[in-house]
Amino acid sequence: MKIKLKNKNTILPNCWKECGCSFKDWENLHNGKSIEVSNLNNIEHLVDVSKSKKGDK
Amino acid sequence: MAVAGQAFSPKEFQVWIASDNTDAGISGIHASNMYQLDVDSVGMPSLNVNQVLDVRSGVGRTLKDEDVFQDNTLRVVELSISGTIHNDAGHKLLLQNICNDVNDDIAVATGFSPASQLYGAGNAVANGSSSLTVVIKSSDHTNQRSLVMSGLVVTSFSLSADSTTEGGRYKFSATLQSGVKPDLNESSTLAGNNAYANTTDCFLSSGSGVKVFDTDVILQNFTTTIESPAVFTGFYADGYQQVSRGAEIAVTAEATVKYDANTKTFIHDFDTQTIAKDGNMFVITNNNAFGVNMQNGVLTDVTYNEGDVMMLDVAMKAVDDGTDALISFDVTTG
Repeated sequence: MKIKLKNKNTILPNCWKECGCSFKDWENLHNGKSIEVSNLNNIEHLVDVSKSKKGDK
Repeated sequence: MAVAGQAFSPKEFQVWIASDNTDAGISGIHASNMYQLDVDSVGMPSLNVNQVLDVRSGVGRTLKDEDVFQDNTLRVVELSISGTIHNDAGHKLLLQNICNDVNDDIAVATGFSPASQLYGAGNAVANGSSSLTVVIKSSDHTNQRSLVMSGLVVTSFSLSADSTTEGGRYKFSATLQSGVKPDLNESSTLAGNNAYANTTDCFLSSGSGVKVFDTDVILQNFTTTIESPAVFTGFYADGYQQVSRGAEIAVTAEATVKYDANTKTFIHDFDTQTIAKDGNMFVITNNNAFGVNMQNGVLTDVTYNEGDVMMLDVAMKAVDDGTDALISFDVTTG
């Protein structure tokens, strides 16, 4: 699933491993970009979640 | 000789560390590859010289000069340090040494087998978690001397943090022992050039997913402690011949958590437990910032902590289920 910060000023906990992404992805998320994760690990209140992927109808 | 006019602040003394690497116990000061430790204060090591000043047979009831005896070879030097932990190579050496683990995410492995190490040139522990050299570094060598202690092993290491102190910054304390004669008169080389940085501190505020006894808790503070006593045997010209470890490496943790609907049964759980908890005994997710993962353990005490709100002090001890590490610390990005 793709996630993006709801608020760009949010500081996320250090849990990129549990979310199934890399430290670089986590930095990109902090910088306002959307990233792909496999698990939300209790950060769902901090991010907008998009479950659609390219090619989905 | 005229008196000297210099005076020094205790804060001018620093603590530096290096792995003895290939020459266990004799590496001494390195001008470049030592790392600075962020210590609260510089404490005097216990030199533990063998000194016998007993009155023996002779004329009069006095200690005779021929009866004075002192030995500084076969003794154990002990050093205790505490301060702020940093996720850097120097501070990780302490944890790597007691865990005998230089892999990513330092852990006390299941079925832990400690390193035994001969002192002297050419002796090293195969995985690189060799003994350590610690230097108490003076600010100059014209008017001061540095203390160089080689062959040190970490016998106790504690990691702690409190959300109400220093912004939840992680702290450490460590006890180190060596069976090698120290150099307490170093005057030729000043140690190290790898100072710690204020960008490598670790904080509770970047943690999440806190679990105690497989329960989601609100944590105020924690301390994890690893104890692995050193045993010194044999002899050679510079001290004991070998350092090995005692029968058990003990991993314990203490956490102060809020007393609430989630934790209300902890006292009963402690009282009635008959087997170890299997999974999430004590977890703080904190990637690359000394996140703590103790999967299996037993409660060793649960008591009220009567503060502004009712808290519980929970004490735990890790057990080995044959699969999981007793404890691991998250110190890698990937």
